[in-house]
Amino acid sequence: MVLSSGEGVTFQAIPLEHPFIFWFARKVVRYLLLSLTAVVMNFFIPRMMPGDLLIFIFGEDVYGIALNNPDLIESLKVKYGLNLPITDQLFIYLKNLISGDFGYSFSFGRPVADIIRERLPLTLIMTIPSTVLSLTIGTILGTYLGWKPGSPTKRIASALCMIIRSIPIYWFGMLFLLVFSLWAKLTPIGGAPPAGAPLSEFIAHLALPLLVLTMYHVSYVTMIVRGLTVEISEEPFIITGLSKGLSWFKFWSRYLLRPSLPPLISLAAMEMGFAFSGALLVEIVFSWPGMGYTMWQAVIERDYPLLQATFMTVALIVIFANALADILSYALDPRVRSR
Amino acid sequence: MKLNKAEALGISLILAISLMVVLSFLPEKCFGKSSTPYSPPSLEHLLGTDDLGNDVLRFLLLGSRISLLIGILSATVSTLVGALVGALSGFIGGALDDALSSLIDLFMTLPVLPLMIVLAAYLGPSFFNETIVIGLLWWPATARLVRARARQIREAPFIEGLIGLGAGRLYAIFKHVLPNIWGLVFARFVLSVPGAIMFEAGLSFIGLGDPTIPSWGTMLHFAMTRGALLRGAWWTFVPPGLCIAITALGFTLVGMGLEQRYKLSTKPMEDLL
Repeated sequence: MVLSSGEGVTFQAIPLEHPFIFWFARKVVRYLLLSLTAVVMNFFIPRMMPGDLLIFIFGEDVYGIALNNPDLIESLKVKYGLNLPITDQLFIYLKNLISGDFGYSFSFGRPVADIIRERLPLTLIMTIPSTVLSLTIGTILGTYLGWKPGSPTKRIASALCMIIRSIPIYWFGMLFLLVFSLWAKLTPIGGAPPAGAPLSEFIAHLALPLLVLTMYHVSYVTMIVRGLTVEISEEPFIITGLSKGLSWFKFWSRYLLRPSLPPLISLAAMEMGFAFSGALLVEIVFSWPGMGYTMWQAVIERDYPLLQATFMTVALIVIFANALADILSYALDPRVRSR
Repeated sequence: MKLNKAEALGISLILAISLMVVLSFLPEKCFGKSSTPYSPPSLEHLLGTDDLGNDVLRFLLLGSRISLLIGILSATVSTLVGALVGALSGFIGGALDDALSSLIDLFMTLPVLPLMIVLAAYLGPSFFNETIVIGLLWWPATARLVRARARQIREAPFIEGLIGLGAGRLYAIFKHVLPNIWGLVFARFVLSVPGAIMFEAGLSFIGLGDPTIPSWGTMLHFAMTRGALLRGAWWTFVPPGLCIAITALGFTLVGMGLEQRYKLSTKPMEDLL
């Protein structure tokens, strides 16, 4: 690579960067392995548990009835391949997954894949806006609070963020439901609007859970970015930036925001994971039929096939978000490239 | 040792919750007799009654025991596992480090709460299972920090001298590395407690808590499932949530103070849920 310096002298730079394609291939392998581990773990969890595997396939009630008929139990074992060696079982399991067969939910009386396909969008419509919003607001608020952090207002705001972080998110949801839905009657009490309802009704149902989730995660991002900014503002380049007499916005974007971008990218990936965990609990409070509410229903009904499929879906999405973040950090952080 | 304001506040919050634990041993007759369900706070029932006519205050006090106990026990398990994995991985290095690092990576990437829910659902709701599930899944952050510190210590001259004198690796880990990261491990322990308490409450809220012992999370679960929430019986669910928040905040403040004393991190709260 030939660079030209300001004086018109050219010199040869040492090629430090790994070619993108090698780096990319390594990451792809890493994340594929991670996904595979998650899937295989999902396969082994029920098999490590005490008790007959058939309980986990049919639920305790049906299994209890079938128990009176040993021939039926045997034939079911053969049908589900439970008499095969464990490696063959794993192979069948993976083959079924790839062909979109996630098992059968006995509490819904439907294939699990159908339920997931129907309900996943409802979770995504909550987690994606919440992640984007909380990252944007949190970054702005965090750099503001971390720059000269001594003033009373800033200290109160930081303390507030910490207090919000200590509150269980579903309890927040319950309070909001009490105040806004039951007392003020501003929003519906919960649930998703019926199919074909106008957009406004959809938004009215979504507003409260989304607000709770976002508020919670804004406080988290704010705390992290504030910490980063406090660290950055002690760096010597900050004095250079200040002495240039730039406008506040230019100073903010070039000197405060930019150095904290790489850690922010990995934070964004983690945020996605947290947003799912948070949404899980918030959905329950507001009976919003996404992945979390489904998981809850599965727990209540002890519907193991459904439970495992929801976990795996969430895990794979979070792993995918991490992979995306890694690729973004390649583009943004020169240190990643030279490693 | 002089306490700053935040630490003093943290310690007083923890003391307040400890007082609740002490009060929970008061005999049952000190609280109002069971009466009409959903009666609002009154002189007889300071925090009203729940859906079965039980005194909410009494259950709140009883809940403090179990919530604190599970929180502290599972934080202990997670800190021990994290410290051991981190110390082995950072100090011994090599193939073991690669293997353990990938394990840490895996558990850092997977969404922890859903995984806990799945495991707890299979194992069944009980005090022991809840503690183990939280303890065994909540260690990667500790392991990562301890690993970094153990790597630093490995390079220290006194360890080189020790190895030169013929000391074994495990001897060095237990006698010299772990004592040197004791401060870090203790700070991590205190900071794991709020997370563990939040997870306990979360699992119990979903209905995976031990049904035989009341905890704050279980109270929220019943308020949710038995209709106290939709009836607007706020006295059944506002106090337990408040208690969870106070406990978590107390341990967080103290843990952050410890962290700053040991100059471990300027990024507090990094992995609380």
